Amino acid sequence: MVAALLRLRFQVLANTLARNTIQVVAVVLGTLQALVVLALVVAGLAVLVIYPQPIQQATVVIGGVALTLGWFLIPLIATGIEPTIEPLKLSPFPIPVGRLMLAMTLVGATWVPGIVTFLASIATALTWRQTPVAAVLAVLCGAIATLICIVGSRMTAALTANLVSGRRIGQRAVVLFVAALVLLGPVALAVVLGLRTSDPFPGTAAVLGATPFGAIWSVPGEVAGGHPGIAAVEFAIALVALALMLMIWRGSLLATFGARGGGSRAQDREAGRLGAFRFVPASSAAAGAIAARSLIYWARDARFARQLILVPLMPVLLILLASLTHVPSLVDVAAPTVAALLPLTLFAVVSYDGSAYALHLSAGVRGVADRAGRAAGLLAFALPVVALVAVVSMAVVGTLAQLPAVFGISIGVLLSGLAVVSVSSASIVIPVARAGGNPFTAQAGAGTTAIFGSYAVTGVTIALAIPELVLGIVSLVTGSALLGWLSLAVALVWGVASLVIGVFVGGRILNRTGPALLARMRRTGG
Amino acid sequence: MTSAIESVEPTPETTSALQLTALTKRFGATTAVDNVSLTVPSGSFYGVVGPNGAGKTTTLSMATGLLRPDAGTAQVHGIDVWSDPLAAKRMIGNLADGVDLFDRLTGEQLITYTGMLFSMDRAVIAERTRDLLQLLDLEASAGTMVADYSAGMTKKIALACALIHSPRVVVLDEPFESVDPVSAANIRDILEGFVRSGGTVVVSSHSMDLVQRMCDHVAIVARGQVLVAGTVDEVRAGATLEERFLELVGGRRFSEGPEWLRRS
Repeated sequence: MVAALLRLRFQVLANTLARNTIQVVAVVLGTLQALVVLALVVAGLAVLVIYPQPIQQATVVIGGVALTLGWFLIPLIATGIEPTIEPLKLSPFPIPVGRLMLAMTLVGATWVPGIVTFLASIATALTWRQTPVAAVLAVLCGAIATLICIVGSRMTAALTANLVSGRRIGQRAVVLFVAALVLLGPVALAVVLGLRTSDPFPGTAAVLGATPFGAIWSVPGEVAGGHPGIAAVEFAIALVALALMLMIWRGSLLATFGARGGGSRAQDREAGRLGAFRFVPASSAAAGAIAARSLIYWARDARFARQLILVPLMPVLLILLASLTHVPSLVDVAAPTVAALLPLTLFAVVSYDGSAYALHLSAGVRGVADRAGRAAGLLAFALPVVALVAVVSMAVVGTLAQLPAVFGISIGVLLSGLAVVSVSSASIVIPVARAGGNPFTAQAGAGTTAIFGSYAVTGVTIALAIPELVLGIVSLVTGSALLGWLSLAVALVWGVASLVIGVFVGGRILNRTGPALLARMRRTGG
Repeated sequence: MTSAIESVEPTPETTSALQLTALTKRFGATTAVDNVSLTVPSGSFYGVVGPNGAGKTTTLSMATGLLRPDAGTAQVHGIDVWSDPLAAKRMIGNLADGVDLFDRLTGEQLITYTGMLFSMDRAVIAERTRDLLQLLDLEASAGTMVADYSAGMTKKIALACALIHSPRVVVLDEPFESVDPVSAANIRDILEGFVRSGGTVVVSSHSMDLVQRMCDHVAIVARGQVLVAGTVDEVRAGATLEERFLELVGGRRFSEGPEWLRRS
């Protein structure tokens, strides 16, 4: 049965790829990129052999924790990172949950991220090759570490799916944010404790070695360093953590199956609540309506709300990092990052409409109105949010004097980003979870397309925003207030100009591609 | 009550309401719609029937500007849907089958949104939204998210969206699917009133009885082609529509199903 599920998953992948050449290219490029990273990591681990043991241990453990955390957190911040077996779709079949978990783990282990993680993990043996026992252990621990990564990512995906699958998203987003912090908590604590020790780098690694994320990475190094007792304890911590994760995952899957179907009937509500539509100016016609609808969707659609998790998380992490490293200017990055990420979420925004986009076509909405409406909908909350992030984070650290430059960079990036996605989303369709579907559902083949789409959008955005970026960065480095204000002025003028151009170009493209986009979305079942 | 629907002026019409000429659509190797031509006279109540996969939805999608045909043209009251889409779409009210709605909006918001997309006047939208919600018996759930609607209510709200801009031609793909009998009768009344006032209705349906009772014209399509089209009386030629349909389309099997599926 497990073999059948695996075959099914590769069949789905093959069918998706056979239908879409761009996705084949994306998968190939993604694999190449992963291989390059893998080669660099393996080479690094091999070179590490010449360093003293504490440095080796610290590098392996901190790198390992970062990798593990990545696996745990990626289901929170990205959709469709990996084509997968969808448990809910399989729930009508009599598949024991244990078999399903095994199949899902194998699916994770047999695709690019899993394979690369496994190879990189066992490559730590190269670092410990002068101590044969540790090297052999490193291979075993590398395999277990990969397992922890895959199981952990499945666990967070299953947990968060349960938490946010409903429609009333507000409180669930908070729960999700808290869950992310809880996950990060032990690690942050370990970093803080470690940094207080006399030798911060190995000190941090030692504390991380006691956390569920770092334990397995620490085992071979402790053996090599002559502490088999510590190694044994850490090995036990890792196994207990793995067992706990499996139990939580299992419980979460069972809860998902149980919750299926019997959706609670919402209460009837009478007319008279037009919400954001009340504020649409009469003159703006279709564009205003689309902007209002975008705003409503950001609040009510779990797939969009999920993207907002990053907004508070980013400044919190950067403030933490800035105060730990005593580099306050790190906080300057918070607002530009949020400003860059928000438009990115729209790079294939029409995909999120799914076949509901038919309404825009039926109504003969002009492409320009469509583009302008969506851009305005995002700007309506992105501008205040970015400003708030900038002011709050910089006030906490005390770098408010640099506000004009940071505003310049952020607004520039936001507007150019919107300009770029106005064009890109007129021609790109990615398979996404349906509205009301589980926002954490992976769609076969979507991950690599989404990732490369995001790279392309980010690249073009940065290129477009070069004038204000250069001015702003020079201002930050030199402390020149004048350049900061100049950066803000350029950002406003040039950013608005590029957005207007983006809206018109994207609109023209959409006029032409609209029916083709709809046809593709009807076929992808979205 | 000033209804959205009755405001259509019965205009003397020389052109047909919908004129499909040699429409063709291929998906890869399969030809979903093969050279379909169809004339829907102005003021008619036109039924399109056919088995699953006959190409009904594909044809209606091409006729309403949702799917670009590989060949052929579609004209609405003489205006080409694909060369002047904006003018054509203002005259079409479209209920497409197999597409989602913006279901995070409430019913009232969805109708209002549709009206705004057609750049209608705000006061007119509000008035017609009230009328439509009342006509379709959705007033009690107007403020509920469409995602929480039953299948039948979802069809009704989609119908309301198709009517809000007071179209001259209404194209409805499977409008009665999963709609309860009372609502179906109400919808039929609305559509019949619309036709009496000079509007044109095109419906696709699986229900032969319904089409025979409700429509004055009918086309039977199968395998991407029009097998027969004309007034209902012409097409059924003395028999019932269902008998004619089965005779033309074929594929009726006289069997009790496989032995393992029998229980007694």
